[in-house]
Amino acid sequence: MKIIRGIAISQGVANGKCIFIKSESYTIKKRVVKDDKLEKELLHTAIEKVKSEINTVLSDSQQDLNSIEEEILQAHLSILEDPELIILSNKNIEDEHICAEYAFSEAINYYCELLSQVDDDYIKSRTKDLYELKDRVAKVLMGKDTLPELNDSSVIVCINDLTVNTSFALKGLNIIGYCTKNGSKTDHAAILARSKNIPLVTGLDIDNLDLNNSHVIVDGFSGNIIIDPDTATNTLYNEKKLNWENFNLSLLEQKHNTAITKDGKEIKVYANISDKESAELALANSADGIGLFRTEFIFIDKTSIPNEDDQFKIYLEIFKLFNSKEVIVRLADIGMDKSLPYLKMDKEENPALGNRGIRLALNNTELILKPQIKAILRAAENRRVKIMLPMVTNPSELTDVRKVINECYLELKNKGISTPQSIAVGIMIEVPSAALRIQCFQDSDFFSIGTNDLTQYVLAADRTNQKLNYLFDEFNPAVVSLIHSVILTAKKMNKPVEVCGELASNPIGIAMLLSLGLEEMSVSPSSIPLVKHIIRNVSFTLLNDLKKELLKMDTSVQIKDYLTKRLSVLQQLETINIL
Amino acid sequence: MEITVKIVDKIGLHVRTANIMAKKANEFESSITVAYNNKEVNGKSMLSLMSLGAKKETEIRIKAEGNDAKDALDALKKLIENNFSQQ
Repeated sequence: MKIIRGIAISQGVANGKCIFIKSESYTIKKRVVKDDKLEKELLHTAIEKVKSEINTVLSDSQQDLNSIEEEILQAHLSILEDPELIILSNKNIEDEHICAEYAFSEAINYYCELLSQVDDDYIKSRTKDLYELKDRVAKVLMGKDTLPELNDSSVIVCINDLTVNTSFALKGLNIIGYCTKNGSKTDHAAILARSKNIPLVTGLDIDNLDLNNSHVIVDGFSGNIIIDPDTATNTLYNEKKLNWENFNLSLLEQKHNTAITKDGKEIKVYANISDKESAELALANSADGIGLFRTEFIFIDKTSIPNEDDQFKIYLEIFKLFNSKEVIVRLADIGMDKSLPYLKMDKEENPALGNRGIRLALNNTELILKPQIKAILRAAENRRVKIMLPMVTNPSELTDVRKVINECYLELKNKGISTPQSIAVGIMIEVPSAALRIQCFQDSDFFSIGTNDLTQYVLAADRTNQKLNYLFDEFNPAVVSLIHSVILTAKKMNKPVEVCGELASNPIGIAMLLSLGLEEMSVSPSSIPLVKHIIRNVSFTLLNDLKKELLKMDTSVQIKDYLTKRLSVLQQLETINIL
Repeated sequence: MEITVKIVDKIGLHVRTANIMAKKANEFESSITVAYNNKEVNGKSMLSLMSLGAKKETEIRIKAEGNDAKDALDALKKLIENNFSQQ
């Protein structure tokens, strides 16, 4: 038995067989070959192999493909059969005596170039499919094709980087847990894992752990993984798993009840969403509304910019789901690790402190800011939709965006398009300058504390840097005291204030935020039942009494221990090993 | 042989329609080319058809050469006029 320490990113326990998915990085190199004929045959065989893989997915009834996925796969098949593509690839081999993967890749690049010149966003975005096929065929040719044989037994997936693309490739597997090397609580894959209640542990030195086919336990609470557990450990974890599942069931039974503390204070629990899937989960878990609609996912993973109409459709679909409830849309927080192929972005030495969020949007008013605001205004109609700005540093940024919003109103009006009477505009509190002088933002209709970024900026610790995971701590007394002063000042200003970071999904974090006086929070949809459970089992006044002591403490450990000792609901979680 | 056909599909020649059209063209021996907006491409290649960027309500010119040229043109004309429905 071996215990390896990692970082817990998605809660739960998984116990089962592990498969290791190699995702080697590779480059397609130009290599001169002697035998053109052999190279052409190799290409043909590789293409046939990818085609048969696609056909397997298409004919497998268990895949449960929707019509869009099916159309994509059919199109992939046709591309691989395209006579012009094959002719060009073969011609490249003959003309230059180069290896099949390079010849094929050049042919694909040629068609991507052609398609990206077409005046049609949908066709332009198909270059993504071409690149994916290039990747798959090249990997087969270069022997980097290591996707395991898919079967239907449940497995723990072990992989260096869990990207959205790999999750699609793994769709046929019944995944019960993840072990990864790189990852953070806030990346897209982590959010996906949490929304599906699959435990995920990251920060593991995957390449040097021989995990393939071994028996592994993933502990999504402590962040440990246990390789080849002994009988006693195995029993213990099966119990833990059962406890968690039972506890979860009891939470789910009460998820529709409002979140009212023992002394009768109602706390609003909103959801953080990014797409229709998460919005539906939020609705199913009785969210009071959407406290954070992350819109950057509409912009990334595209080869051309989504236009006003495309965005309008997406927003309308989500707004309709929450017809009478509040929805706070955050303008796209692009930049940092989310770069866009269609936007010229200079390489930055320090992207977390760079041109991102509202800075980038204000630098690209016509391209990014206006189409998004107009699409939101159009879709909002007379629903309770609000706009929120990410990464605000100075009040002037809010003033500038308000000007742009007014222009958008005017431009829509001139076109005879109806708009809501007015729209509330608020800001994220995540840059220390805004947190320290929140009273200067009188013009903001509401505030939302983004604890993930606020923590990284207050502690000067890049939250994506694995080596600094120990420093990135939302319970750091400096962070806690800053959050407290923001809540206090916002209340004095008579403005609503919520917290929308990961801290609000953490049981101790919830208790701490309530003790600091917070009355609204926005959490991941899958956490709503747990968050409501904590709220229903604490007293708001008692927590408020703890605040004085809490703010005197010097370490995050003290803060966490203190709250756990004082609150029976947290102790209960501790006994079933969930804390 | 050569014909001119108007595209009635609401989006034009995009992924689904280009795919269907190329598949139909591949059923024939004749060489088939499609011209639009000063560009002429292989009608059996889905990628080439997509690269034309032909929008709805525009006309494309289809040329066929070979033994079954007439059948090919008839079939393609019918396909496009029936809005790419595969019946």
